[in-house]
Amino acid sequence: MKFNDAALALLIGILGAAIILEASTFPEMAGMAYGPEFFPILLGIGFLICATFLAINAVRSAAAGNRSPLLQLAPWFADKMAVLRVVTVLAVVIFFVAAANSLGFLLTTGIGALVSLTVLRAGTFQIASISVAFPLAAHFVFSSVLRVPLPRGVIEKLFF
Amino acid sequence: MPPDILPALVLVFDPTVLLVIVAACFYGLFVGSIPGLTATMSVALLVPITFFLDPVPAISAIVATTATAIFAGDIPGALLRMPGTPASAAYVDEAFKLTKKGQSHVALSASLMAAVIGGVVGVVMLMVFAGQLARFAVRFSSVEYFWLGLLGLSAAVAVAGSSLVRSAISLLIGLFISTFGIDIATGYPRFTFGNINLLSGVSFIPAMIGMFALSQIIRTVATDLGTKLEVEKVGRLGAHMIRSARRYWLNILRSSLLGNIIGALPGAGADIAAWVSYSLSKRFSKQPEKYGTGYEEGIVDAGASNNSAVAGAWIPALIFGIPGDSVTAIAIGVMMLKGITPSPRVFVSNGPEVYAIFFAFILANLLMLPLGILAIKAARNILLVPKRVLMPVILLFSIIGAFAVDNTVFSVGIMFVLGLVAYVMEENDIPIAPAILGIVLGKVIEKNFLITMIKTQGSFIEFFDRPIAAVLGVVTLALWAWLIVNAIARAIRAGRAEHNTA
Repeated sequence: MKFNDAALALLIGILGAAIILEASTFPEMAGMAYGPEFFPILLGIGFLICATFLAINAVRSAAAGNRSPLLQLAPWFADKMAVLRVVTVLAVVIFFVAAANSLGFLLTTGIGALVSLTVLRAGTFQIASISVAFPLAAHFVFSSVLRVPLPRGVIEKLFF
Repeated sequence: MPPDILPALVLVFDPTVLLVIVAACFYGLFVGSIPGLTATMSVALLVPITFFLDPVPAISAIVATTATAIFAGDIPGALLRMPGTPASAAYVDEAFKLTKKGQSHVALSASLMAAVIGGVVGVVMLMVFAGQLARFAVRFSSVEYFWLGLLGLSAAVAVAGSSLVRSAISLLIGLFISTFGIDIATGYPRFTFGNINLLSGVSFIPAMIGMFALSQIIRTVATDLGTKLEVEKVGRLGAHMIRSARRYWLNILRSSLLGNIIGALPGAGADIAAWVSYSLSKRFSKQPEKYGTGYEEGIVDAGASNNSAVAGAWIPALIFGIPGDSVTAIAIGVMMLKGITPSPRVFVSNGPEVYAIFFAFILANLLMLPLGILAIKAARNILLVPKRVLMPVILLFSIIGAFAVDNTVFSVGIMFVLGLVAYVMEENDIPIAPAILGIVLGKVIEKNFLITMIKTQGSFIEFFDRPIAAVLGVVTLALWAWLIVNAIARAIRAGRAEHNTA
């Protein structure tokens, strides 16, 4: 996902402007010359300055005849399997966020391991052994040894 | 002899601590020798476990992991021309050319020997410099801390290597992230979007894990999963190590000193130390024509320099809470949690612990000799661990690590978002390191600025009123002036070149 200078300038510019707009709604503190809005507004101005420099670069490179697309996707976007692998990695994280508290740690990480190892085409033995052993080992280390209150679900309630 | 040395030795030679150091050395060697997994990433993944250790074993685990990971990066660099960590990139060609001549043992024994000596010299210098600096820095007030923070950020932009604008964008992103949550001076919640989890700000560890681990997992599963590696057997190392230590002892000392100083600069870590030392090595060598053809002198210099830089990064981290590199940025967070607050008084308030960290550092570097030989011999097996298995396991560790910081899935969400942000940043040649320093230093700078402003009732004169503050301020402003003049000069030159070719 490579943006050209013009697109990047636009994105950074919008971010800078948004920060300034939001920060200017922060209340001023009586008796203080610089309140909670001061530092964010400074950063917003910084983003705008960077956007300006990027825009100058973009104009100059366009004038020199260099044409690059606004957004150039990485070569792996053309490879369906690569896209599937990346989506799976991201989906496993989202799945944990969404389901860990209801399904519990063991089931969520077990499913996460099973799905990601399968999509990444690990061997059958590796898939089976890691999907079962990893959640149990991690549960033992983090829950029993390190005392992290891992999310509890059906399996935890039955066995632990 | 400082009175804290004896209690510190007792702390380090505790069986648990020794076990943790040995385990961390193995872990560092393993992660460092796998291309694509960096020392910073290994430390970020280690942090959730250190939460539950006592202060000394926790920090010892971090220093032992870093020291060994930086050396282990040389192993795939020499054998496969794939640097295990960015710190080995400077001399990867040189080392691989030796391997192609059938002399991988020359390359690897030179780099192991240089790493061990460079690492130990680096820690000795850390002890000396940090002690001296602490004595001097006790007099610092909020103004000096403000300037130091700003100087640290400026140095991070200056050395980031890519374009000034892109480094500045990265820095601003980091600073922006640091403003999330309740404002330190007035208590007003900023950029929380009504989410109570954001009131205390963006947790640092999930942010780190996302930016270093998740982004790397995405890159690896997208592009680099199927590469089959073939590794050749390495010959005998011992005799050659002694020979090159005798021959290049002056190079090792020189590069250790240089690496230590570069490591102490915020934003410049082991990788930059290695590049600078390699090029200086070539300049001062009696046989510069041999560089680039498979010659060990450059490897010795750069290998000593990057391991010494690892220790150097701890100088500003311990005394000012200003990280010298991304690893110490993480380590500062862990130290604070463990009740070791970085400050010029750290030798007084936590003397035994600080000396114990130094000893753990030395111990890890000495252990690197036997364990490093073991890792080199086992390289064939380590490098054969398939990434299609490794990546899902690292992914799950990242998730658990982010969760364990404050036991909420919200932290896993932070890891997710910042992992994507870091991936897009790197795709667009925006370096990550300045953002990390921005996240760490943003609060330091804002707090000290506001405290100074409240003390002086809004007068800016105070920022230059005290002699040390004035010097720091002038240096910071001069650095920015130099950066801007340099950037403009480069733009003009580029414009002229385009004009001439048109």
